[in-house]
Amino acid sequence: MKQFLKDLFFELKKNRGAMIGIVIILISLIIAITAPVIAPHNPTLVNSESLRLPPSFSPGGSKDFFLGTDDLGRDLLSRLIYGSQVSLSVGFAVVVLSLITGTFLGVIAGFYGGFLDKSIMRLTDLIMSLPSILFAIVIVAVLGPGIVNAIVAVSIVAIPNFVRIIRAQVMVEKNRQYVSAAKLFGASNFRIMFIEILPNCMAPLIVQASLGFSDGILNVAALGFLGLGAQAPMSEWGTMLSDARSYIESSPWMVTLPGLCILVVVLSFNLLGDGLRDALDPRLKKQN
Amino acid sequence: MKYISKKLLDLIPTLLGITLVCFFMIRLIPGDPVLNLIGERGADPIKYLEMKKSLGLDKSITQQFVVYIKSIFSGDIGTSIISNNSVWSEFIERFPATLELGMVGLIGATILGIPMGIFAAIKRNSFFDYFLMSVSLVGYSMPIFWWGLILILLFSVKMGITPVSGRIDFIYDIPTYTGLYLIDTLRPAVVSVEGLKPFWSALQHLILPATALGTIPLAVIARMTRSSMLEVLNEDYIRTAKAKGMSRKRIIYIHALRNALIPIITTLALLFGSIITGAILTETIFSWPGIGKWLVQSITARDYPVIQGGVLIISFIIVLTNIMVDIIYFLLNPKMRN
Repeated sequence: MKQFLKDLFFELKKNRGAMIGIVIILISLIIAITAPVIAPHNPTLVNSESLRLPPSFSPGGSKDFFLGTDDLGRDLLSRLIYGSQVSLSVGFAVVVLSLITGTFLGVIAGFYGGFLDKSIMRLTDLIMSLPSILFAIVIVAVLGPGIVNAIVAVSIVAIPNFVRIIRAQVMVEKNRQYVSAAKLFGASNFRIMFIEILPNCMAPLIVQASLGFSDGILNVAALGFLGLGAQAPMSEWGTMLSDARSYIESSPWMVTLPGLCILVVVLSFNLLGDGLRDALDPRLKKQN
Repeated sequence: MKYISKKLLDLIPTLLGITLVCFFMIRLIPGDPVLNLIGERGADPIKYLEMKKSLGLDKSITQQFVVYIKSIFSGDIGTSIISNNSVWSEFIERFPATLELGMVGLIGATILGIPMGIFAAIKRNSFFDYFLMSVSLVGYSMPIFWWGLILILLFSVKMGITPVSGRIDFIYDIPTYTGLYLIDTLRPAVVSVEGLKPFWSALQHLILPATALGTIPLAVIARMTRSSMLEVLNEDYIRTAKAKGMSRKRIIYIHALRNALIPIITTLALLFGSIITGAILTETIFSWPGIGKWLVQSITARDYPVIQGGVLIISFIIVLTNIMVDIIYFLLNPKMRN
């Protein structure tokens, strides 16, 4: 495993896009962790004397509020900084939830085959037949709006990707000799599935996890924008955009900045995902 | 034939599943659905029972499902609580708007994306290739609800070239014929009275939302075309064609592109679903009176029958399109027939 990660990083270092992605992800991670220290103001502090102030470098701006304020006089920079906490944890939660569930279902489907496989695949077909946001909307409509429900909804939508990837990989792996050897030694099915086979399915899983991060962040932000995700006063970038819509003519900075943050973070995970795929692909071919 | 009938048989459990999801959706809402629908306050007992009966909630769950399936087969997918119109008639009224938006977005993305992908593949590793692929990765990562707002900010607020919302200026009253304004405004009856002005107005209203909606498909198509072309260009028959001394143009456009198109067509069809997702967001931003805006509004208004019926129709459409694509793909690709 250690060697695997070492080789992987060596391959990644050659890919400029992936390195840019990693650097941006690290920076946003640092921003998110140190948010209470670096944010100049309390992100939810309403300030009735400084409503919709432009950024400090444009006319009319105040030097107290570097990126200006929103419609309630809250400091935009601080809200954006705290927003990175929300977005990164949302991405992480979505990936963890969908990865664990999807991997579990995928391993079982690929290993046992038959009726179990058919039922699981039908279920994923069903989820995939609905557009992701639409399905998430249905779930949120049932559970009610809120950031946790949005995360649950987006995770459910992301499960089929993992199921399919893992299932295909397990179906190849289960016919290999090391699996027969493990069987001869009397290993339980559980052991064969999760301790023998699963570690050999890591490569596509890592790629999908990285892409799942960006999908998760994007979809939860979209739900926030539609008013179905994070609720006020939480500093979530999608929700901030939705609040800013009515002020697009008078206070454009309220619109441009949160969206730019979403774009940059999503882009960095996509860059990393692409790089990982390129790095892991030749290895995959060699293995087979 | 065997393949097609198998595909059609596979359809049954999926459609049944969607129906089940829609059926249980309204019943899984925490608390009493009837109270949810008419509001906690002012729920007088008679109205309560009436509502319960009209939703069929006074019967057992299996009976309810039988009734639900029966009513779907008879064409009744519910009635809006807000407007009291049937969900189907509300859908039909708004579908052309979404169809027009989606078609223009997707066609635009195809017309631009395929040549871009081909060009990037031919000039592999050139500056243009890197530039195009970087731009398309940005496009692919774009939160379109933000992109739409940025387009409004640039073209409507700053430059004042395009309108901010709606499908056409209010002064024009276009009789609906197809429901697609770009076509309806060109009918002789309209052109003879108003000239081409209504058409321009419809086009101006359409251009921004279609751009916003078409961005992600454009990025996907360009990337897909590039990788598909690169793969094909490495095939033996291309080397043979080169060895035979064929012109470069002929090799690229006749030999390579035709084979590269198969995965591209599949991608196009799969984009259909993402167009609907995009429409939900785009229509909300541009106040485009289509099914996306309709669904979002019904969620805010808690108009559950509309959400239930709307989701049912949309997912049926998507599933049926995907099956059609599978069949076309099968007919196009001789390799699949064995």
